[in-house]
Amino acid sequence: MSRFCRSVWNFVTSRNVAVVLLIVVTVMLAVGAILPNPVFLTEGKKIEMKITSPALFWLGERFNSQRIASGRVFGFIGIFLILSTALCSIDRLITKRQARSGTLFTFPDVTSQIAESDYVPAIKSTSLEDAVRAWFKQHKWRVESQESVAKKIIVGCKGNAGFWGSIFFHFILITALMGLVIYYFGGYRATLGFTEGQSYRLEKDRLVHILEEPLWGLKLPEAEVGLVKQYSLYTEDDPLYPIEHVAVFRVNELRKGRSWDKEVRINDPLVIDGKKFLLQRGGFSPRITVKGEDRSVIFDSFVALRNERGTSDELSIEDENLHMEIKFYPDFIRNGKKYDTETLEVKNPFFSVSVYREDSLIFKGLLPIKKEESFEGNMITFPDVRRWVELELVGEPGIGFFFLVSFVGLIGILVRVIDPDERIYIILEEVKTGVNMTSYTYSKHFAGLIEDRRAELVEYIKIE
Amino acid sequence: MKKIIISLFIVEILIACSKDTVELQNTVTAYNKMLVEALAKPDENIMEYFTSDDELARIGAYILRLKTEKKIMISEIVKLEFVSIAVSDDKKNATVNTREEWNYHFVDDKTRERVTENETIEYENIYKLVNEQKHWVVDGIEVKEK
Repeated sequence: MSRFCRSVWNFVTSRNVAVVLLIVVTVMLAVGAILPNPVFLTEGKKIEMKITSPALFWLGERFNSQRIASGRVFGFIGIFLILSTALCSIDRLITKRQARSGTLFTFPDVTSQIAESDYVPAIKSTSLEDAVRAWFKQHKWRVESQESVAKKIIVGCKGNAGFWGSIFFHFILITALMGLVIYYFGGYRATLGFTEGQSYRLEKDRLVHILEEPLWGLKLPEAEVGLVKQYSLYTEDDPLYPIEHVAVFRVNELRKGRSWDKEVRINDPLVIDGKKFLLQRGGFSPRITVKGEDRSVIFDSFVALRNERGTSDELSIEDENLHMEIKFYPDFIRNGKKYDTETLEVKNPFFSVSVYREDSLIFKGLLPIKKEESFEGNMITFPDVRRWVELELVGEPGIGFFFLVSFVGLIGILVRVIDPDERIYIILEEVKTGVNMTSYTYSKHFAGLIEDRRAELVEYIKIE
Repeated sequence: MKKIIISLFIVEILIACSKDTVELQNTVTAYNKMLVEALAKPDENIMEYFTSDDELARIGAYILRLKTEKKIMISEIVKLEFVSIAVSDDKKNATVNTREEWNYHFVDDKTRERVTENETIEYENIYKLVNEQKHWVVDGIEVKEK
């Protein structure tokens, strides 16, 4: 192997490189976790943050953990680690094979610990060798030996099961990381919205946002889904603090020909054909009707209010060059000259609406539900108010597999700890009046313990 | 082993019982919250998921009466206390006894101006519920004003 190839091989199989990359990943995720994720902020909070902390907003928008985890750098590191782990296992197997052929034990390697020498007078090296072998056999160490003209090297090896435990762990890790690759390429996240009473067949065109899509495309269940009802339960002490959100969905599975209702809660998703739909957020959705001077309908639709806990939003009617600011007060009260809502339950529904034409305010008013008001000869009314919810279709294939397999992989690590890689090198060199015995030790993790073993072995030989 | 099986059986029964209790409490709570909304809009149809057809018709009739009087009821439930809950053996019927305190007033249906003063009323109610389409719905209420 050329020097360049050897360097590349050493780099990709280096444990230090893997450790550095894992630290990089951890730091990236830690920083991402500290930064705010604008996706989870309300529109109001987003605007507030943009004004008060623009730098933090900029960082949060680009480097939040969600963004980092789905980024290319993260993906590259993941793939590199899989490759590195695979090659590392191969490297270990090659090393093991070399060890079997004896090439590794020509002399204690650089990792060995300080030698200790003893002179044993009036004895032949073969007698000493027998004693060494007997000790190794007694302690269930595997023995390798090499002989040259002047000296004999006997190597006691331990840790065979541990070695295979390590290999098992590495291969399991590859399998587990494959789970991450499956997630990386097969994960999906998309949102879809429903207003009470609305029902439609699940199709890709219906998705409001597709945040992640599998490489092979997103397949939706063959079903028609409708929101029957949404309601929230509030604490008696704080009527603005909900303790439970419930959305009742009616599902009609077209292929199976069956229909069923499901009460979806925050931690109790809707599951159709194995695909999970999580209840994400919601708000109010008033029906807004605008009629022209000739009483023809200009606009008539339910509009999902997305800001301020689903109570306010803006609406543009492009054809008429109209722009509206709408605020809904489900439980209207007057605080001096200010309008407010006491609770988020529909007890006394009012709307405040400002209508602009080309940036000029042409109407501003407070309307109770169903009441008509006129502006510039047009009529505006809010005949109904319902609730809307957003469901998030989430799929994380491979993640469960990753955690399960990683857990199994720990068995390999356990075996490795119980049966660590240890070697004791005994070099016997015959001199005129006896034998010079030099011993080296090698232990990857338990250097102190192996020294005790060597002392025990030398003591045994001397007695024998 | 026998003791373990009996213990598990008892735990299962307790869990099943408490699940029914929670579901019934939630249904009655949601019914009342939605009733407030139905009266305020006014639109009885939003009660559909929480009531039987008979109960929906009863609420509809009350709302119709208010409409003919050109009134809208603005109400809030101040206290809802569950006194007792009983479920039939076949789990198809249940009764829920409550103590309730309500505040309400009426407003004009056009101007939304208040037409009556605020009033507080206390009830002891018996809700009769039936298990329809795999969830509980209110089928009728026996109202006892205190």
